Amino acid sequence: MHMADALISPAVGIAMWGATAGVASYSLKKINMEADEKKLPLMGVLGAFVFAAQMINFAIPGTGSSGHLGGGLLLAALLGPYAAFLTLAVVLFIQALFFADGGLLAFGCNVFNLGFYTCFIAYPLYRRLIRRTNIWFASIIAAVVGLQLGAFSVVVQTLLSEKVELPFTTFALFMQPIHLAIGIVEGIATAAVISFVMKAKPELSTTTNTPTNRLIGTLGLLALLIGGIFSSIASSKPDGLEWSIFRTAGTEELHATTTLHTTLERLQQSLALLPDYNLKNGGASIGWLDIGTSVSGIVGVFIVTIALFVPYMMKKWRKET
Amino acid sequence: MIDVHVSNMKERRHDVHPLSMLIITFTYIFVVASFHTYAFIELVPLSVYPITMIVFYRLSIRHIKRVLLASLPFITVIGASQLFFIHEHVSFFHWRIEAGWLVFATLLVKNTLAVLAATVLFLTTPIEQLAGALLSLRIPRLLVIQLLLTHRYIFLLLEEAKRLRQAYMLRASQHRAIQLSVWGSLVGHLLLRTFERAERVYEAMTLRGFSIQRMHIKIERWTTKERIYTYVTVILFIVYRLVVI
Repeated sequence: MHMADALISPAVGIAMWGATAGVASYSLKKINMEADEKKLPLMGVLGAFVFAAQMINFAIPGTGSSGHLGGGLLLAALLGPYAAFLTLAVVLFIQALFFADGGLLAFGCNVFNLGFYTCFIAYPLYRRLIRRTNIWFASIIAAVVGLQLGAFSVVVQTLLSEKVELPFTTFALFMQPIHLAIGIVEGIATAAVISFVMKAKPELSTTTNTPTNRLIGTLGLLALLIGGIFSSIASSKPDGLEWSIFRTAGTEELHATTTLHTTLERLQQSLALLPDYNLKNGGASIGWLDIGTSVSGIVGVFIVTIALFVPYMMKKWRKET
Repeated sequence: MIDVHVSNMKERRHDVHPLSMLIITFTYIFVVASFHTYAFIELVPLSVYPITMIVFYRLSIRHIKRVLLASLPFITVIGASQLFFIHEHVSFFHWRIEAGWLVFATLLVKNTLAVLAATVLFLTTPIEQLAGALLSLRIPRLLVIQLLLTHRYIFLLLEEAKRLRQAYMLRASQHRAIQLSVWGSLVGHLLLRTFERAERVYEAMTLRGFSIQRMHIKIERWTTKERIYTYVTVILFIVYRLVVI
């Protein structure tokens, strides 16, 4: 699932670098390394372990193929989400630089797709599930959720970059099922290692607090549902302001003709990633679901969440320091 | 991979400042990525930079070939899909070809150039110098130390994992891969050994008076000559991008 530099535009690459930097600096504050210096070599050595474990393939029963550990969920379970996110960021940087697995410009995309969803969405889910069910079920569900979100992110980032002509539906229908299978394998592998470690050395399982609570989780899911699905069936009729202008001027949008206005309008059209809440080349639709509008809704939810989350966290750090 | 890495470490020359290499590489990849989907011809002259570096520093072609091949599968699948989705025709010199082929070729060239640039950075700049450059770019010290530690242990643990796999395969030669029932405990053991190693590393570091703040990472001086070299190269890339639209 590693994105290559050839697939993304500089705008998307830099935006994702920014998002990754924000989450990384928040994680740095949260792990409070001065209080627990012992964690540093552990993070370094466990990062190297992820590489090593990926070399040891296991046979997938009944398929004749083999799989390997991804490592994100395992790191989160052993180190906690913040330290795991930083460790994964370093692992991905080394992979990009030394093994050309994922690009340097696409580094932010890769850390977000493989690290953020695993550490901050899949891992809290894993912790919740493990209290009620067994480790295998919790691990498989968490890995599948993390990878599905990551794969969907790859689709959205690729489409926003507009470097390839891929219909959203086709690309998503190609990526999501493959990553469903990979997620199940990842979940099984993670559960196999964690259950062995829990038997052999139970004190190693982490007790770090997860950053989400039920309210934030529910609101987030609700926002995604509204943005991703219900936005398609929203009324296409003009809003109050547009209606008033229509009644006054006979048109829903006023068009200025001065050079400054037209230049700025052209600039806005070229910069807008999702003009008129749709993909630039329009979007396909499945039944009543307008894909372009749904993607715009989901991207919008993410942008607003990040925009709200970052100042709140910055205020919190200032208070803490 | 490990042998190549060790031999490269010995062969490296450190003529270019690591910070210059880092800035130039990022600008180069940025410029390559900014070209549109049909910019096959426009991208070709940009290959001068990585090729010059490879020839000048006599970098390991075998290693570069291996890294390039490893980067190809995903991009090839995405690139090949363009043949099914783009049906228009474009003129390419005197030929009329399907636009999908041109997009496919452009993707491959972009990928090759970006991978070559990253590999040139890796092969010409030792990790310790890269760490110094990252620090001077105000990347948090903790992340930089972690980069050094992870890099230090990757090759050790890769060797250990290799030995583990080899030992299993020698005992169960009829299996193509490790059975899932055994795999968990096998990797679990590797993990436990990793934990013990982390403990030993921490104790050794503590005995030598380690602290994150005091850990010394050398930041080399960025001389005026190196600054000029960096600015000129960066400007050349940007000017090329602005001229060739």
